[in-house]
Amino acid sequence: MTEGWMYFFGLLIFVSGLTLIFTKNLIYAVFLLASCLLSISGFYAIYNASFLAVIQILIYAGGNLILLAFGIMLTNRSPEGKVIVGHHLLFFGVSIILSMALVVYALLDSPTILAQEFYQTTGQVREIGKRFLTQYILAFELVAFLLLVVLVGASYLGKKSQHA
Amino acid sequence: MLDPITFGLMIGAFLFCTGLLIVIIKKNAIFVMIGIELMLNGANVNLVVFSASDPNIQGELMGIFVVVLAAAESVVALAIMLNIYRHFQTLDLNSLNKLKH
Repeated sequence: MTEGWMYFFGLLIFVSGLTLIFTKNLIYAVFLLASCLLSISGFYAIYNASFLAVIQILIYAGGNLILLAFGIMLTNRSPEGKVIVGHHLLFFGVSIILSMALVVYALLDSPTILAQEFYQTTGQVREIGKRFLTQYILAFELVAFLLLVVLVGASYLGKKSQHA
Repeated sequence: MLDPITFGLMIGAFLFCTGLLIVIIKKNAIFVMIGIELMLNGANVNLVVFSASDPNIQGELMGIFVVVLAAAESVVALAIMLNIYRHFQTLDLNSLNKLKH
């Protein structure tokens, strides 16, 4: 059952990722990115990270995509997502596909990644909260400060500049 | 039938490669940002897959930090892009080759 869902979400990620490469319409690209991110969130739920799945839906599919859509609507006349043509890009594409094939081959061949039982947790949110306030307290506070800085910086950058 | 961990790592590798290809071949700056999001998600999938069999859920905690940092990055990047569009009236990365107007 779980395995079926895993392949389903994997297929969705695969198809929407491939279509994202070849599409030329920015609005289509945003919707494809939405389907890709939602499938990744389902993937997280399968891999025993339910809190991160909810966070993914909230922040990425809720906030980040709206922001991208605003960006597209505010920059209407810029070029659509055209592919840069040229032979050097053929080289890049082939090298990236080759490296991905190498990684997949190494994964299928590797004896060091053993099949392990998933660790089933129930009180995961409690565990995450405990660790954020004890073990990762410095990183947690630094991220809070970073969010404050981003808030101020984005509102400063977003206002109309005086000499433009 | 693949092992779930191997399948998850393959999906992570696929997402990273897709993002890298989009960053390289697309002309529009917003498209490039979509590619960056995909790359971050690929790294995140790897972290989650490795933490699935870990009693101390370290990978998932790192994943939460990655999501927060990605959100901050995209906010600032979009503000900068709006400013660039206001100056140059385009987001074509090939024609943005001057620092000054």
